[in-house]
Amino acid sequence: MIAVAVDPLSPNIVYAGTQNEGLFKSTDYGDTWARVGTGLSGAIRFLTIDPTKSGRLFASTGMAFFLSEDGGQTWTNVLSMPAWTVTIDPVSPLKTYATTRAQGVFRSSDGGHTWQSINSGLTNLSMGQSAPVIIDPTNHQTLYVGSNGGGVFKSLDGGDHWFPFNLGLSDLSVSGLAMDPVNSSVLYASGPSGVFKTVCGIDVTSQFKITPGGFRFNNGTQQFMQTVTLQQLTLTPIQLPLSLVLDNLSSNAALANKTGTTSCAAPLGSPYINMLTGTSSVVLDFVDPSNTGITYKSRILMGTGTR
Amino acid sequence: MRRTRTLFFLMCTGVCSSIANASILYDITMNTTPLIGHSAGPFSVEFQLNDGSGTGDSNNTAILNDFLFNGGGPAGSPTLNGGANGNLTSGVTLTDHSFFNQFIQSFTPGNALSFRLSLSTNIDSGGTPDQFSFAILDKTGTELPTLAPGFFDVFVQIDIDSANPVVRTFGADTSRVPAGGGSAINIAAPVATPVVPEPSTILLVPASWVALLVWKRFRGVSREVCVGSVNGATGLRLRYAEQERNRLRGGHS
Repeated sequence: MIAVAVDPLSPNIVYAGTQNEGLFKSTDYGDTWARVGTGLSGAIRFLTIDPTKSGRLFASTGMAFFLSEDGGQTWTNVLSMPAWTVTIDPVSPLKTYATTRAQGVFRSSDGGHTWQSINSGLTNLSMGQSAPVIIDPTNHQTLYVGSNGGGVFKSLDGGDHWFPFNLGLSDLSVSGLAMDPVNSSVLYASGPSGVFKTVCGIDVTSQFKITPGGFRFNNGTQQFMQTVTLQQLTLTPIQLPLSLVLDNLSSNAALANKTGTTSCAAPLGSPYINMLTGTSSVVLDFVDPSNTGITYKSRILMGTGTR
Repeated sequence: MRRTRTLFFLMCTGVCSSIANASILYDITMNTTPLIGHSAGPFSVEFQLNDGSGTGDSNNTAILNDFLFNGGGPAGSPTLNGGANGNLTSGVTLTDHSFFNQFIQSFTPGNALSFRLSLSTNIDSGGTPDQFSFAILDKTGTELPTLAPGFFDVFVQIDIDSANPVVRTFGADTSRVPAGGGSAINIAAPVATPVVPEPSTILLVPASWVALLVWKRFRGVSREVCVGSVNGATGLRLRYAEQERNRLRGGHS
């Protein structure tokens, strides 16, 4: 037996996939088992149950991805290639992601019946065996996936584009990837060199030249505006996105177009705005009802972990 | 005595050079024909000189004068915020003695709007520069759309981040219509012409020599002469600038 899955909606139902003997199902918490799985072939490596619909599940085998919508009784081959994992978006269960052994990542928008390759930005298509697509529960467009050679990749647009997310990851052979269930900014990646954990908001201010422009009051929006330009000074790889953090922002002002506020890098609650490239400009919009001075100190944090 | 004289000379040279490097002088001209009769009017001229330090340190001043409307003219009374004074007839002064310093006055557009900008260029501490900007507001008080980055919607923008900052000019954005209504307005970027070539310390050395000669003639009032010589140097610059301007205008001021 190499794969076990419990139906989250009906925990008495348990599935067990085997190397050579097919699929078994129990409806009494595992006390008794019956063989099921017409149409299913190959060694079953992973079983993924739809958390929103009992009886709907995927099986990943060495040959293909299979889908059953009748509690494992019958199966349909939906994607023929050596399969690793399946991830079902719990909020939009028709949206499903699959990782393959050597052909990158696929996405389905119809519940797993049809699939599209989404490998833009992936520099290595050999995916980690236990490194599934992980969906950030705070933003379902933010995804992570692990590869065997390219390390961890992140997407901010639901998988349309990926970028490396490997700061501090000295071994890019990622076979396992997991997210802290109570803090989506913390990821764990495992591989031959051990287990790595993401850290919170790395300060890379010293690697940039920060050039703020002057303030101007926009009569139309009734807000002050300022352009800030970042220019990377070093060749050290920078993980995107960058966050321009405004510490000690004067009390009369608020950043109107902020992306968020820091939650794990001191000082707590500083507003930030994401900057998408290493050398770029961003316009800050300040609400300042008193028309008095706007002051702040700048930091640049890299990658995730600042929210 | 010789040492005192030399010291005085060096001081005058230094002061004169400092003044020369800490200001810029530009004639700015833009076509305003598309504004004539446009339904987004009446229009207003708007200038801002905002303090980068946030404290209102009064270290920079913008003097705007010689407004020409070419068939149009100023209208109404100005709205002054912070360190703004004057009007479009007598001239406008903006000093950053508040964070927010703004001048607004309506005008009737003619074929062109031109004015002279004299802007001191002292750099604020803290990294954020003072900023001078020029926009035209429509009848709603909203800036006419321009091609300035980040929807700043200004025709002229100067971040005072050096003694000789870049004067950025932008044309109107024809892809956006004014908030005040009517069709998109097509105005080319204003032409900003430096009235005096980049001041050179070497050029001002003769002015210091004049000061020294004056001082030699009127010993005993050296302090007053020093101040006078500094102002005299600036006056020389302004006179030269005026001559240049007249020459460029074919002798008509």
